[in-house]
Formats: sequence, structure tokens, C-alpha cells
Amino acid sequence: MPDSSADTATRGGRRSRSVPGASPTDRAEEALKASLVQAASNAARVASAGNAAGTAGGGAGGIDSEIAALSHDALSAPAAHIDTGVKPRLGIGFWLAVAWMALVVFAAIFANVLPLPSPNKVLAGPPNQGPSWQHLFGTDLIGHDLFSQVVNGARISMLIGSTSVVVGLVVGGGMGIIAGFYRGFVDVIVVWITDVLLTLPGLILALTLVAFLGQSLENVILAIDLLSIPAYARIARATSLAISQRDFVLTALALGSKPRRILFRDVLPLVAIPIASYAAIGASIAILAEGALAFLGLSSPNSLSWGGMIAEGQQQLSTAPQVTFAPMIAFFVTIMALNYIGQRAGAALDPRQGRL
Amino acid sequence: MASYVGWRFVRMVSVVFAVTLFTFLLLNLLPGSPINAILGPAAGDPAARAELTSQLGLNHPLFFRYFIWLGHAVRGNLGQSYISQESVSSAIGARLPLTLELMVMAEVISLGLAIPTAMLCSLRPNGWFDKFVSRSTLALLALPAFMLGELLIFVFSVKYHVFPASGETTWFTIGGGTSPAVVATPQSILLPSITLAAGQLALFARVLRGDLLATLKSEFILMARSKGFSRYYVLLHHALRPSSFSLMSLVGLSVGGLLAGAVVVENVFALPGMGTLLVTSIEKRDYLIVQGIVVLIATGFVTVNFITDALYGALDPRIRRARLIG
Repeated sequence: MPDSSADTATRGGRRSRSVPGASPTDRAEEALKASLVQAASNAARVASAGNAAGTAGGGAGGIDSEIAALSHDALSAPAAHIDTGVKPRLGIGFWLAVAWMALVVFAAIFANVLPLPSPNKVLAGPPNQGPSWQHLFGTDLIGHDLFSQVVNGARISMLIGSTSVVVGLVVGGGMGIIAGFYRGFVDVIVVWITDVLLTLPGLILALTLVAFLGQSLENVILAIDLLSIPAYARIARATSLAISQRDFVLTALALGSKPRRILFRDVLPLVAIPIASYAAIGASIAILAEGALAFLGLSSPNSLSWGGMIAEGQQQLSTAPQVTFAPMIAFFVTIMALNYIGQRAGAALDPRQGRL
Repeated sequence: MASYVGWRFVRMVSVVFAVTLFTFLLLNLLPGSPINAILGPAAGDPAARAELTSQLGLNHPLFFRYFIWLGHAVRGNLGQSYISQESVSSAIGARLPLTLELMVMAEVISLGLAIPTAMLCSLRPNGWFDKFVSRSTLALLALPAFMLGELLIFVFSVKYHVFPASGETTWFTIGGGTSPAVVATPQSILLPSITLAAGQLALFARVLRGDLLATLKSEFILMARSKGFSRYYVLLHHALRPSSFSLMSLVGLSVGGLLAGAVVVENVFALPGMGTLLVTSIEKRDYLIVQGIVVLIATGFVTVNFITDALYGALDPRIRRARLIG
């Protein structure tokens, strides 16, 4: 007897895959999927509104509310495409942004293999030079090669960006999906945790943790990962909540599928779309937060960071402006690229444009 | 309505409670004795050690100590800095006016620019002005305060000496006593406020533009237009009000961003506000001041959020009903 429910579950699961050549069924399934993605995106819009609520204080400095702005744009996007029914393309800007990010990741990984002078080498060239072929970004007052410093500074940014995405997707996304799917007590707890994490503006939370736990690379990563969790959790929860109330979940339950199986097979793939499209923006917020910490002199003391370089350059703005501008340009383009990728990806995943 | 506000209130109190407990535990579970951490360089002084031990009641269990601390904190006594010998509350009180001044200026600037910009954009969606604004807000969102601030210093203070550079900032003090309040002159706070306003400005303009476009599609707008009102009149007198709800709630919520931004901006421009106090206290390991500021920021931010939320519900009946059901 206990086997029968499992049996039904397998049959139920298998049936949808193994009906051969049943084109009406396929079409129905297509339609169902499309409507689900639609629901998911609606939910994500709700989440982004909620985020505007919560996360307006979430990131660092004025950038925190960015999620709100960008996901607002991405998800409530220009309706112009609806009439034409044209599947929107990502556009050349998107691929330029991806290319820039690939370049930055490459620089971060191979920084110490590249044929560049060491970033800490004094008098790598004549001091206080503007850009030249030998020193692409020039040198500072004691002859550090600024190009080499910027390339090495990419390391911590990429490290912070990637760990925050992984932690955000796994921990935040996981918390959110479970909360939205099971609801009840778990939901209350998860919402409360995100509330607590959002009580302090993101930068202040990171500052506090680093201040009390000590200034080290591990603690900076810990602090920034922690502050990136609630945004993912909220988006995942809202989407999962909407999907879990759909008829096909009910059908699967009625067929005897175990909740856990439904969670992984039916809900997870659909929640993955909106939270993955948020990842680029999440990474940019994490990188900005590290930049702000480094600017305040509170990031990892032993690593070169763009924010720290910008702070150092401030003393020399009148004598050697290139010291500030070199890391600034790298930082600016990187954040722009990530935001643009996030925005385009969000818009492209919006079915009202995509006409699935 | 009452139950909605009541539920929000319970949530707010529990969250503030958790944050204070969290900062208290951080301070008390520091590696080594909290006495070493709090006293910092003065840890060698036995008199100070004894005094702090009795003040913190370290012989009591941790949670008992937390409630004692909370009791003092509620009454405005956040302890006394062992580094500057100053009361934490008055140290913060002296720096707070400047930070508030900065935040209010920034909010005024960003709203003052965002509303007309969004209205101009919505007059001709996807026109050249709209596209220009959309691109530049995207760029502004990628310019964090510490970068924009330095750019402004470079242009306006280093190249053309229009505004005082950081370090030459002028401020004056109000009141007497040991820690008089610091207020900056309008001239020296203009650049910092613009820096702080930029991020909010981009956000406000984008959100309001989106809502305006949605409202302009509704039938009552068509009705007004067919009655012969000009586009400009309809935009200002019919469309703006119903479109401003998201903006309103964002303004309340932007306080968090402003608080965090103020920390950075004050450091860029060397303004003696709460943000610089926070960073220098972290550097000096003056943990009681750090704790005090963090608790103040958390409480302030949550309270503002709570008020906006309650107001928002009170002003828009649709929201109130939807939230009660949902």
C-alpha cells in the first residue's frame, strides 16, 4: 500500500514525457508553460515592487535602490514589442557588455601571469606620467604602473561578485523557493529574516560586520554575501508563491507526487528564470558595496581594490588625476555592463515581449 | 486598516529588537574580552577595567546584560566612549544635524529634478529627450557616490574653483556645552547634496516616468483630452497625482539609501557628520559609538518605513484593501 502513491507519482511524472507524438498535448503543454512564465514574470514584478520597498535601503550608498529601478524597467518594460510580435533581440550593446565582462574576468584570473610590472613595484616607470604605450593608464606619484594596478584590482571585484551570486542564488533563492512553496511557519521565518537583514541599509550592515569581526578578506566576503541574500530570497519567494498556487501544481499533488518532487521538478525551474536574470544586477550591487567599503578603507587590507585606489587618488586629484580616473573608468564600465546585461536579460525573458 | 498598521507595528518592533540584539551580541562575543575591545588602547588601565566591568555588569549572564543595556538605550543612554571620554549619545547628537541637513537637501534636489524630468519624458515616450534621460539615468546608477563626488570635486574645486574643496569645507556650530551641534554652510553642502541626490534622482525619474506612462493610457485621460484640455494641462492636473504613489513610498524608503550614502559622501567631502564619526570610530575601535550609531540608523530607518507604509495605506484605499486581503 505505501508503494502505490509512489507508483502513481512515477506514472504521473512519466506520462507527461512519454506520450509519443501527441501534438495537441504538446501544444497544451506549451501553452501552459507560456502562461506560467507569464505568471512568474508577474510575480517577479510584484517582488521588485516589494524590493523597492525593502531594498531601497539594501545596497550601498545611492545605488541600493537600483534593483528597484532596473527590475522595474526590465519587467514593466516597453510595450512596443507586443504589437509587432517580434522576438526582441539582445542587441549589440548586450554583447559588448558581455565582452567587457569576459575581459574583466580574464584579467582577474590571469592578473599575475600577464606580462605586466608588479602592481606594487615602485618606479615601474617615471613617476606621475599620463597614459602612454608603456604604461597604458600612466603612473602615480611614486611610479606604480596604474594599468597593472587596475588589472589586479579586478580580482577582488570579480571574487566578490561571483561569491555573492552563488550565495545569493543558493541560500537566498533556496530560502525563497521553500518559503513560497510550503508557506506557513517557514514562510513567516524567512520573511522575518529578510526583514531583519533589510533593517540596516546594506552598506551599514557590511560596515558593522567588518568593524566587529575584523578587517579581512573572508569577513568582507561574508558581509557582502549576507547583504545580497534578501533580494534573491524575496524574488524567489514571490515567484514560488505564485507558481505554487497554479493548477498544475495542484494536479501533480492530486496525482500523488510528493511535495519535494514537485518543488524540484515543477517549481524550481520556473523560479530559476527570474532569479537568474537578477544575478547580474545582484553582482553589480555586491561589487559596488565592496568598492564603497574599500573607499572607506574598510575592505580587505591586503588586496588592491578599485574603491581603495579611487580613495588613494583623491589626495592627488590636482597633481595626478590619472590615479583616480584609471580605476574609476574600469569600475564605471564594469557596473554599467553588469546593469545593462541584467536589464536586457530581464527584458528578453519577459514573455510579453518574447511572445513564447 | 487598524489591523494592517498593527501587524506592521509588531513586525517593526520585532525587527528592531533583533537588530539591537545582533549588534549587542557582536560586541559581546568578540574574540577576547569585550573589555579589551571597548577600552582599546586604554585596556591596560585597571581603574577603567574595573569601572567598565561594573558598568557592563559582566558578572551577569549575557541576556540579562542585554536587557539592562536595552533599558539604558531606550532612555537615550548609550554608554560612554572610553577613547574620547564623551557620552555616546551627545557625540552622535552633535554630528546628527549635519547628516540630516545633507539628507534633506539631497531629497529636495532629487525630487525637484526628478518630477519635471519624468513629466517631460512621458510627454514624448521614446523621443530624443526620453532616450537621453534613460541613458543618463543608467549611467548615474553606475556612478556610486564616491566616484561622482570625486568627479564633482575635480571639476568644481580643482579645475574651476567654484566650490570649496574637501578639507576647506566650512561649517559652524550651534549651541554650547561640550559637544555643540555642527551645521554646514549652504555653499559647502551643495556639492555633497548633489552627489547624494544623484542615485535617488535616477531612481525617482525612472519610476515616475513608468507610472506616468501607465496612467496616460487610462480612459479618464482620453476623456480629459477629448474635452479639449491641452496635453500639458492633463499631465499636470490629471495624470501626476494618481501616478505618484510608487514615488511616494520610494521617497520614504530612500531614507535608507540616503543614510548609507551619507556615510560615503561625508567621507568624500570630509564633512564632520555622523558618517565620518562612524568610520573614524571603526578605525579607532571605539565600539560603543559604532554600536550606538548602528542602533540609531536601524531604528530610524525602520520607523520611517513604518510611517510611510501606514501613510501609503491611508492615502490609497486600493492598496489598503489589497494588502489586507493578500
